[in-house]
Amino acid sequence: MKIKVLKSVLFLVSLLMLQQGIAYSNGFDTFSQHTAVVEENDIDPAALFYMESRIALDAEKRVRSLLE
Amino acid sequence: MANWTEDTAAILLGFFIIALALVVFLIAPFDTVNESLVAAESNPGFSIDTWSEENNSRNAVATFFSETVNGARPSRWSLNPFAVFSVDFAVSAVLFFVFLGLLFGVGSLLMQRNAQEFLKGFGFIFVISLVAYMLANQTEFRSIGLGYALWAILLGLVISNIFGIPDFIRPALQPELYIKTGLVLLGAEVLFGKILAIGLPGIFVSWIVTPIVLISTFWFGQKVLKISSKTLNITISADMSVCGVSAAIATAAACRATKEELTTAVGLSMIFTSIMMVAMPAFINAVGMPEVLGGAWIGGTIDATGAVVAAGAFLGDIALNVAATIKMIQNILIGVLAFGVAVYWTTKVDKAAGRTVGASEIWLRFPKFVLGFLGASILLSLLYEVLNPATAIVLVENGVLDFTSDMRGWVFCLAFASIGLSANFRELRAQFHGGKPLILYVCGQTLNLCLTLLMAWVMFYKVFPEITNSL
Repeated sequence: MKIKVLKSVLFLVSLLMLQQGIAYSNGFDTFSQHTAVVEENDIDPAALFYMESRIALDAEKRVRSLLE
Repeated sequence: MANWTEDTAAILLGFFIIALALVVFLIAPFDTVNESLVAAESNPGFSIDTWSEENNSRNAVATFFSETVNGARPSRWSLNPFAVFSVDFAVSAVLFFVFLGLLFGVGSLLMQRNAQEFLKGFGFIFVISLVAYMLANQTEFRSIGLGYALWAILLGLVISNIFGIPDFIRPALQPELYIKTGLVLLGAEVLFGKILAIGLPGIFVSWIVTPIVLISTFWFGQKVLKISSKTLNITISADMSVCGVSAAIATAAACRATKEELTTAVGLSMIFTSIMMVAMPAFINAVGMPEVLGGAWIGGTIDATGAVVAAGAFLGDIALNVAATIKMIQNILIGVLAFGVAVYWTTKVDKAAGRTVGASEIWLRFPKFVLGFLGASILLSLLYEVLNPATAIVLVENGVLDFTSDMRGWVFCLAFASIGLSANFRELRAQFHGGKPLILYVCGQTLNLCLTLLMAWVMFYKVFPEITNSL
């Protein structure tokens, strides 16, 4: 039982460390600029397929209209 | 009762969801919306966005379905995970749980399994999926693209390897049924008309380079790295060269890869997507590469669509438009890929040495869900093309496909939670023995980066410079 609790705590601590690591990396220019772009444009970088991204669908329409 | 398999049940469930979406989001409001759009289109300065803001294309039933599916997904949060809980969220989550439970309960029943026992375990998997979505919506995790797929697998793995799986959950662990249903829904989103969005340069960058990289990487894995599992090799090759997680799921299902092999491919894709999403635009800026070339390079190489959009937006509007469009064209390749892999595996790989395989045996072994995937794709592509363009965007793209893509996300999340819960940690670790999957991914991606850059430069700057100038 003790080991199970320990492993669970370890998992939660790793999650927290990952979150803090990403937050800390925002101190670097490239990361902070990237995060700002994602937030400003309301992008979901985890969208798997084009239908999940409104921006991707709009981008395709803009390209079509420019070429027409 | 006919003998239903996971494939046939998945086709039925997938098409039921598509039919439901067509009735609610297309057929019911069609007359009113189409008439209004056709009249509005004759006005100068007509814009679909403005029309959509001023008119409601959804009736009460459509709004209810859409809000329930969206409302069940936890909202964004930063430090306090309890901030996502609200009465609306709880009601939507319960309603959506009942809907999905009934849907897959019927699927279980068709496959002659105990639906009551299925429902008992399904609640647990649904809760893991909710938590996976919650973690994916945490501000920092979201910013680098750590999506629900990764969290669902990770949570499942942690729970099964620390606490073990209670027996009551086992009947609901049906990753194949969830995956194949999700793939039929994914088929509906593959609209073949989008292939012409940017003309020939897009087709060359997406449809010529990608198969070359896929076949070369698979060959490299077999002949040079001598990876013992062909299914692992093709799943990683497809996920790296086509469109990441969705290509990995489709390929793994088509060649019947193991849960551990799919998990390995998905993990590699998500880690490298996060790195490339930040590193590629920084490199492109540093060397002063033109936006169109940078966008085409990003679109052809980064795995996930969302990450392509994020990386393109970092460079500017033109890069974003080109990157997203190239990715969209590449995404369409997924149907051809699933069909090709299924045919190759049925006729070549699974064939016993020295035996000829008859048509009936090929049909028996062929993963039938691929036909559901292609059928859904053809149906929605035709529908999209025959409708008035504005009506197709408002009712099909923003209505039917918005709903089916949300549903597909949930079904894949259930699949990944089930995979995590049932995957064997030791077997998963064994996949990385000798670091071969990592070497395969890195070498394949290096080839992809070189060939895509070369093809994009040739197409956009040497062969079709007029297209580049128009963008």
